[in-house]
Amino acid sequence: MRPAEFQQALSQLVSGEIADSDLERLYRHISDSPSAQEDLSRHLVMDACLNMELGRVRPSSGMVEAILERIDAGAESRFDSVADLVDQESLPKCSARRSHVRKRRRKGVLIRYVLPPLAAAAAIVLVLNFFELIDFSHRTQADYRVLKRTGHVQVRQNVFATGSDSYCLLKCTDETVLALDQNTKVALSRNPETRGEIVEHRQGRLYVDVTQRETPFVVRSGISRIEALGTKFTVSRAEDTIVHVMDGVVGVTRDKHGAQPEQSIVLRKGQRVLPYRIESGTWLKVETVSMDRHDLLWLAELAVAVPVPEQPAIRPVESNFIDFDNYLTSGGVWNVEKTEKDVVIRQERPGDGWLFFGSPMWNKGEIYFEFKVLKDAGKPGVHLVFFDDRLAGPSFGWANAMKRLRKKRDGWINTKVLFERTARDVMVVKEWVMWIQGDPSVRQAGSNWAIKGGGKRWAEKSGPFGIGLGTTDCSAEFRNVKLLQAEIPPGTTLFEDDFEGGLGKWKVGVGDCKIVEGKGVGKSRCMLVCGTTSEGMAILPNLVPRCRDFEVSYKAYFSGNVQFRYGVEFQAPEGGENVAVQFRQGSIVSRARMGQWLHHRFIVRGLYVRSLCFHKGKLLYDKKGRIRGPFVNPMLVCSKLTDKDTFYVDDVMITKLGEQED
Amino acid sequence: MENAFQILVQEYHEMVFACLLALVNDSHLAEDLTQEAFVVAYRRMGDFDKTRDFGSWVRGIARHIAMAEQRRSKRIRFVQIEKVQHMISDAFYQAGGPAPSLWRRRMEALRSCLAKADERLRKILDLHYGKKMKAEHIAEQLGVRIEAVWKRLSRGRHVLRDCIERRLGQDGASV
Repeated sequence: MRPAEFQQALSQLVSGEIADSDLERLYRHISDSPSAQEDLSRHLVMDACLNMELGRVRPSSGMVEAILERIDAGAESRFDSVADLVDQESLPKCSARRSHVRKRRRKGVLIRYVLPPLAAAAAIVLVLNFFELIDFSHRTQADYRVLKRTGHVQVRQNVFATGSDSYCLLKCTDETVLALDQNTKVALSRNPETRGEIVEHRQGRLYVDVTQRETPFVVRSGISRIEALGTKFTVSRAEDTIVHVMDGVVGVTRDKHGAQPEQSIVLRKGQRVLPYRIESGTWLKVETVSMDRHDLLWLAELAVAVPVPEQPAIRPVESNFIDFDNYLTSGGVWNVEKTEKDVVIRQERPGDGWLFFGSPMWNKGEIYFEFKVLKDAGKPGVHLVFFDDRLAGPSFGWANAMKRLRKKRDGWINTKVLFERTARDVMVVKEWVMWIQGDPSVRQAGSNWAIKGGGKRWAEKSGPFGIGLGTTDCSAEFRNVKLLQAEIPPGTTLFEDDFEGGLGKWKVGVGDCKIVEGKGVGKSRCMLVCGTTSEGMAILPNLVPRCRDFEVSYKAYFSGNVQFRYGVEFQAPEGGENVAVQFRQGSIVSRARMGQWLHHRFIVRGLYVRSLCFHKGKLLYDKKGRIRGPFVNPMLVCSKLTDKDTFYVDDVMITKLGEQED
Repeated sequence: MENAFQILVQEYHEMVFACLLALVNDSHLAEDLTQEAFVVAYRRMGDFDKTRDFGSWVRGIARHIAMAEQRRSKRIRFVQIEKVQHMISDAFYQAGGPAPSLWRRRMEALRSCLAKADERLRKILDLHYGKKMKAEHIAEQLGVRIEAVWKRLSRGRHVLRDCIERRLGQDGASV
């Protein structure tokens, strides 16, 4: 490989844009050349640094806490066995004697091996001026007692932490009440100067009822400081801190953060504040909204009396939109059998398996299913998954609840799950209930369940999503899987841009295509002129997640040879096959005269597409079809043009459809 | 949870994340694998040789985790040559060494090098890394050939690396 050629291929590899054939060649070259290897490693390291600096690719703010939480919970890693692969150089193997000692005296080893790095790290911390740690030394412990708790609550000095199945109610000597939701951690202390309580909110959700007092009561949550005098409010901390005031007044201050100066606001009853990020920085967004009942349901576990709003009605669905004709499986042995009245789904291999159905795009809804464990292979569980176009997403699993129910009676278990995608684009199971079939009194239930890591990862890349079922450590049969109700909020924007927003926002995919503004016939919004290509062309709008019902319409005009096809193509996720709804030579064109504008409409409702074509207002073509989900974007395509052809598209519009039938 | 380990996670997680990002070129995956690396490190703390650098050790675990993930899922881009994997890990050792503060200084140096970089170079880096544009779209926008884009990106990385080395050298850091 010549040097210039090598540098180019290297650059392509680093950017992930290298063709397979070039990749093979490059690797052959690199394997033989130590200097090339060094070059590659330098480029990859610099690439990562630039991605972090310019692309703002950073580990999420909650990552450290997520790691510590997993360690606290004694979680295993799916890579635990990886240590066996680590070589002598990077992970020294222990002698047999040392290994033996480790098993018997783990604590001793921890002191031996953990404390020295602690000393080193502590030195680093001091050098780096971690003022927060130093600040703690001035505080004294606050006087709290545990009034009520469910499940295991970890109490270590002044730190209280609930787990995934526990809640805790704390009471201060002045009757101030602090309720901790599941997976919440707080550290309580007192400022010796002001004698005021300080609640350091490290994770999860808090409900605070502060009595009238002389001394300040402060909740510190991330970089936010909430100060209250006689009030009730909730504080949630996930990616950011959200404060919602139920009664009274609180002051919220967000510390100086980077270039962002300190910001303070006063919140009153019914208001909530959440950070709102835009290019120029983070703003504080105040909204006056009533509390969501699901944000309060957990307080019932601790018998805290707060008025809980009624569940707003969700539009019931007329038919079960779940598509059982197209599905994806991973692991297990799945057998989906359609009967006259139902669809029976069996995962026949005891173990783990996943089955993903089509591409529903509900924002909120209720799913019902029945299942029975056929054979155990450890700790059986079933899962409900919400997945995006990369087949990644949060998975909600029930193993402990199942175990408790099956202890009472083994057999069919009915499950109802109310889910909602939050304003922060994270899927949350708002309520779930599981009961023994035929005996609703034997039940397990829960509320407000969000998956941290998966939810976030999914949300950032979220496209249209589907649902899936899964098993762990068992084989199982599912039946009567149905969607009971579903809703997409009115006014949801389906597309970030449409053609009225300016053509610069549209992306030209492939091929030789010019976009000319304002030269079409009639009230032109854009004009596409395509020609002299054998590859075809494509333009792509940006599709906003949750897009379900929309219409693509445009006028098309062609000249020259008619050896082409054109229409709307639905992009499949990476690695999938695109699905096209297109007109071909010999169909519509044979009935229309050349050199005239044809008007096309593609009406998309979920997975169903209706294609219509008009000539001078007269319907020429009307066909219904179905696309295989999940898909990413619709794009206009035209292909197989010869050098004598020109294809014009005008008046392209994409609109959201209403409820009525087309 | 041992406080010592908590401090180690806080100090080293960003560097481990960067190392994994260089290996797998997917921020979400890098984040997941960083978590896994620290969980494994905690569980295997008994194997940690106190005479060695914790950062190198946890990056070694991270590298093997990335390899295991690559075997499991063929979809990720992964540096397939083991020697190059080692070099990346070593490069991070040189970049950060035993003290994560050096790693932060390196990122600060990158920031100031970018601020002083040639405008043409800076623009192309902004388009590629900041706006995540593919080379062909950059070429289209700048009106240059795609080969020129690849060349400038490669040169940009070279120039910045040299600048960082010079800057850290001036500051007296060991690189």
